[in-house]
Amino acid sequence: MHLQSDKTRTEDLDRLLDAALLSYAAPAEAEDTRTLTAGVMASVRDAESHRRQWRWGFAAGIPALSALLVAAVLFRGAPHTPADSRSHTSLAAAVQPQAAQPALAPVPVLPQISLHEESHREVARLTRTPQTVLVQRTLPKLEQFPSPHPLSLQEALLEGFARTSVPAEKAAIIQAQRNSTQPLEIAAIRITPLNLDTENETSPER
Amino acid sequence: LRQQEETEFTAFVERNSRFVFRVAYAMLRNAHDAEDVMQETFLKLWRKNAWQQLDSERGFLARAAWRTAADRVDAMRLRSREEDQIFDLPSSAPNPEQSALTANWTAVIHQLIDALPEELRRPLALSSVGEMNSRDIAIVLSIPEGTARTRLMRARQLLWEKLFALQKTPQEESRYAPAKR
Repeated sequence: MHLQSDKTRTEDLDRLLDAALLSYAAPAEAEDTRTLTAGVMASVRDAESHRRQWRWGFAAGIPALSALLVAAVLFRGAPHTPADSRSHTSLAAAVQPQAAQPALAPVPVLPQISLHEESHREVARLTRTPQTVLVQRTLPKLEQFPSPHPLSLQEALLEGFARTSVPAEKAAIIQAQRNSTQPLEIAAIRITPLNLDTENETSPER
Repeated sequence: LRQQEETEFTAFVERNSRFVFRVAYAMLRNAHDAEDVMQETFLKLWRKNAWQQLDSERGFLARAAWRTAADRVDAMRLRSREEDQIFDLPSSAPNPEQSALTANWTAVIHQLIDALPEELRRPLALSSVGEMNSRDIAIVLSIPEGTARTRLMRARQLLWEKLFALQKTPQEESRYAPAKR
């Protein structure tokens, strides 16, 4: 009788075990298939909308970013030239870029020929910029440099004066020219102090 | 095209959602977490667009869900360790002995399964999902099929012995109790 009851109990246990195992991974609180599917599809749609937002963000952001990049590259690639030297780009300025500058214009007219030539060389040295060198290379080479040319009216007068005048006159002119280059002396200005007491007495009361 | 794809995917989810949920639940033993894992698994498939060219839907889904659930368990363990807490907190549910007294045998067996070593519990839990034989279980757990079969047998044997001992105790006590005169 005990054996019979033990056998029955064993079978009962097996059945119990199988039934419990079947329900082990199927909880009672689990949602039905339709609800589970709806939950999954909702999360999928949510993820899709997020992805779409990112796409739109990229679509708007990438052109803006590339435009900024291009601008930055162009800005960096452009030669850094100061504003006042932009006229060098023109052909006329390239030929005589600094000849018209006021610092070089008032070359003192000196009677010595050597000084005159020296000043011409100085002007040529100062005006020799990359642009002028480029232009000069294209010009034909002269047989004699500097080129012989007739004297101007001023130069002819000066030469005539130098030939005919007496040494005392020459010395006086040279002295006068030297003096003209000397700095000017201005006499000190004296300003008498204001008498504030008398001014206050005369001003009307407020 | 996108609309058609979405319709097909919905049918795919409808076919497999319960199966994936059960695989996740077998690992996690929590309906809320299992639902999260199920959604995550399907979402990954949708993003990678890998759901259309599956040779074995169930096999692939079981592996994907199991791995996602395992990652979640690892993350939970790590988080609980960081917070200096014990991951395997004793549940508020009655212990097997208490359940046995109230004759809730299904709950007793579930608790006994939960108390098994993980290497035995996992194959048994996967076998409870249904539609999964020892070969599928071996693939999901990345173990040889023979090992999976042996573990299943050992787990069942251990469970049976514990259950037998639990059932026997009150009956044997009454059977072998000295008769009152």
